[in-house]
Amino acid sequence: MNVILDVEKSFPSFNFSISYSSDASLTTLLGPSGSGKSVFLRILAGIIRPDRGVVRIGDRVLFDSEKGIDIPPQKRRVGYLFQNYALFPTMNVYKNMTIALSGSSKKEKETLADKYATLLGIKHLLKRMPAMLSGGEKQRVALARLLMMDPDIILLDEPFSALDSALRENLRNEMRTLIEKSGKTAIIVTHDMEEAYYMSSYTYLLENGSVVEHGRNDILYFTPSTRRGASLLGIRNIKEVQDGLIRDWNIDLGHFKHPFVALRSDAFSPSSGEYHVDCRIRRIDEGIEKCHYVLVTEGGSEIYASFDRGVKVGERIFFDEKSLIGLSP
Amino acid sequence: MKKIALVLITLMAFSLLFAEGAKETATSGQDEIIVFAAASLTDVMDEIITLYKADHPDVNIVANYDSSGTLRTQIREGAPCDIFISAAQLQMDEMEAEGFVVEDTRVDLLENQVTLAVGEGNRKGIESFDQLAELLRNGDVLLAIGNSDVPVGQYTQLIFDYYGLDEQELNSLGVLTYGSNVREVTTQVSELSVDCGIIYSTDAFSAGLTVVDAATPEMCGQVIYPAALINTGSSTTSSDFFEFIKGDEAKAVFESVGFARL
Amino acid sequence: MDLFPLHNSLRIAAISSVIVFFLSIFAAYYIRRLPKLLKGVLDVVLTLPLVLPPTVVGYFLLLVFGLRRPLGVFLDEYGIRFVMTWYGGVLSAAVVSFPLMYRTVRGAFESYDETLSEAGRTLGMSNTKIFWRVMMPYSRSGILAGFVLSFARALGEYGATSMLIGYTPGRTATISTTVYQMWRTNNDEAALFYVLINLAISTVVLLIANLLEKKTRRS
Repeated sequence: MNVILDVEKSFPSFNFSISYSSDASLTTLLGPSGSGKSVFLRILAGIIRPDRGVVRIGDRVLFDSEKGIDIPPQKRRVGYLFQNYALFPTMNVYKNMTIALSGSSKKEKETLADKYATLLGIKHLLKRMPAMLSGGEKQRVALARLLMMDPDIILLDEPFSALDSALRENLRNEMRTLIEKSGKTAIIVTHDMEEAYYMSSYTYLLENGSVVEHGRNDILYFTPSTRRGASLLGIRNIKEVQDGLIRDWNIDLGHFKHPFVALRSDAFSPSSGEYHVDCRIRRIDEGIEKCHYVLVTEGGSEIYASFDRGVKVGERIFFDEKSLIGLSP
Repeated sequence: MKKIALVLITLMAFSLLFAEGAKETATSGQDEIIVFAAASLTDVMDEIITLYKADHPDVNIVANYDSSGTLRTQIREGAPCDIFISAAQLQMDEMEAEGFVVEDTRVDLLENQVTLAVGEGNRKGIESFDQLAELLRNGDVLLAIGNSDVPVGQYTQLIFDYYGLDEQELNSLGVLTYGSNVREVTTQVSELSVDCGIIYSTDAFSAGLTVVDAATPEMCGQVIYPAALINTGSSTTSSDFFEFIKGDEAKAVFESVGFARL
Repeated sequence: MDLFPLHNSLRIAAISSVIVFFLSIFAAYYIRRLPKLLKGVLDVVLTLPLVLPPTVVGYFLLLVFGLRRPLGVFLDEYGIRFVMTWYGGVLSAAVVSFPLMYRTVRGAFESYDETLSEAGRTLGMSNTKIFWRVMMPYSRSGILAGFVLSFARALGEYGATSMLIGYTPGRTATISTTVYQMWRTNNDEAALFYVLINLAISTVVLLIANLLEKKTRRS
């Protein structure tokens, strides 16, 4: 389902101005805290009203400041999975799932609840109170609850940030499977790059209330096209190119069209490659699987490179042409 | 935390200041005459005290006005008092029996009248005690009276007996409302909270209320205010003031508000 | 023994508590959305009757509803009189006990998690439904505590009540004004009777409150 959000809203601390359009079934909004990711979801859900703009899901117009359209959240058919799950604390799981259903008979409610409880694997929890559930269980209940209302799209607000990292991978897998099974379009908001890459097929990079870059995951994460985008994706080697030269590193790239170039930390080799840089080791940060080196050239320019443990790194590191990422400002 | 402590200490200091001020009146070192007088004497006694102090500026007189029953209880509980003027014989009898009265000082000072008073407009059209009795029997009026601890309330009970009215019955009809002293009853009449009230003529006079009928001695006897010197006080000049109260200058003041001096 | 004061006190306290219940919830719900300055001012004004001596409150009530005041006269034309009537007792009890419940409910609503309401809305629940099925149950124990406090205060009200409705046996007498009058007229037997009745009622009220509190805590 196509989702279009083209809105502006000014807040005391920052200005929110986003132009979003995606028909991917799973899209991520990736950005640091304070970038406006939650604001995006809230505007989409109708909880926050923008100053001006248009919000559309499929062919339904949910908000249009010029035409004076502002559909209340109750009618938007948006399923919102809150970061704190927002389960109603005074009701058990079954009641949480069925409370919003109006006009259905008891039998209808039971059947529907049974369907989604089975789908989410929470049938054994129906009589429990939210306070007695683990984080992962709460999440599944919250998801079941919103699915009961048959929303047009699902919004997930930092779905895994509150959970133990040991569980995360499994849960991500489960969540993605569930969403795909439900056949619904979903937008996920997160600050975790790995999560974003894994969960979706398309990503919007957000910073300070604006879109920095957006694109298909298989392209964006490996070859972003803006400096801010590269920086947000955690690429630390971003260098200026003048007349094809990376001056700081004393490298001639020949015909290089872009004003800036980036190199991922894992793009270097200790032994061979088309280009090389002479440097010495300033610092080594040891990780469990990889070691992260901070190297410095004679001119004092820093290079960030990661190698597997046990790899010997000398006074020269290498990289190939194909690793170069051309960036515009 | 420090800020909270500072605020608390300041508050306490302030309250102590006020407490000091409250103590002032008792410890002036001068001779102090303490007068307990029935509530119906409030304004008139104030006037008499002012008159006396004009000629005796170095004398301090403190007056305590309340229902005679309350005053009697206070004296009994040991409150210092030099002169007691009661609105009925009963309370003075009790004081005498319990040995609080200074020998041979008791006199019948004033006579008052028990009257039926109405507020502005007399909305129930009340004209006499006779009519009132009928209205009470039919449950068709709201009458304010003093309770049985208040002399004017005791007189009211005598009036009820005269008309053969049973107070319990009247209570179940919801026609009677009780005040704890005659001032309270007077206020209820003047505020139009009730249809009428039974109070002294002096109270009606000072509150500007219309009196529609007065009780005869047949109905409730004579309303005599006895006065006496009491021995719980420590003043040495109280007898001089007592004579003044019994004198001609004071008599004029009493009569000006409707008392008859005996 | 005349049981009217008992029946009168109970009905005054009950009606007053119900009125206060709805008024304070209404007030707390809407006031919490207001800008800070207005919120603060309203909080102070609505808490005043708690801090003022009951006799001061009684004086103000007479000032407004007395039968020589414009409002009192106006209402009297329609047969509504707060002076010397038992429902005047409801007014004085409600005014005096309102702040107790209001502040408790305000506190409960302040600590309410707004995302619960947001979730409710995205699920399609109307604001009214969210209020009664999510917000109120969430604040249940606070509301219950406030209700018990205001009922107890209404039951024991003396100062303002005495000034506004006086002591008319069979019509406006409450347990507290009756005890005072019985004491003043040296009727110790009657006074003790009403004192014991009051003790019994208060104990029952507290027991019920305790039971209800345990029930809400368990769930």
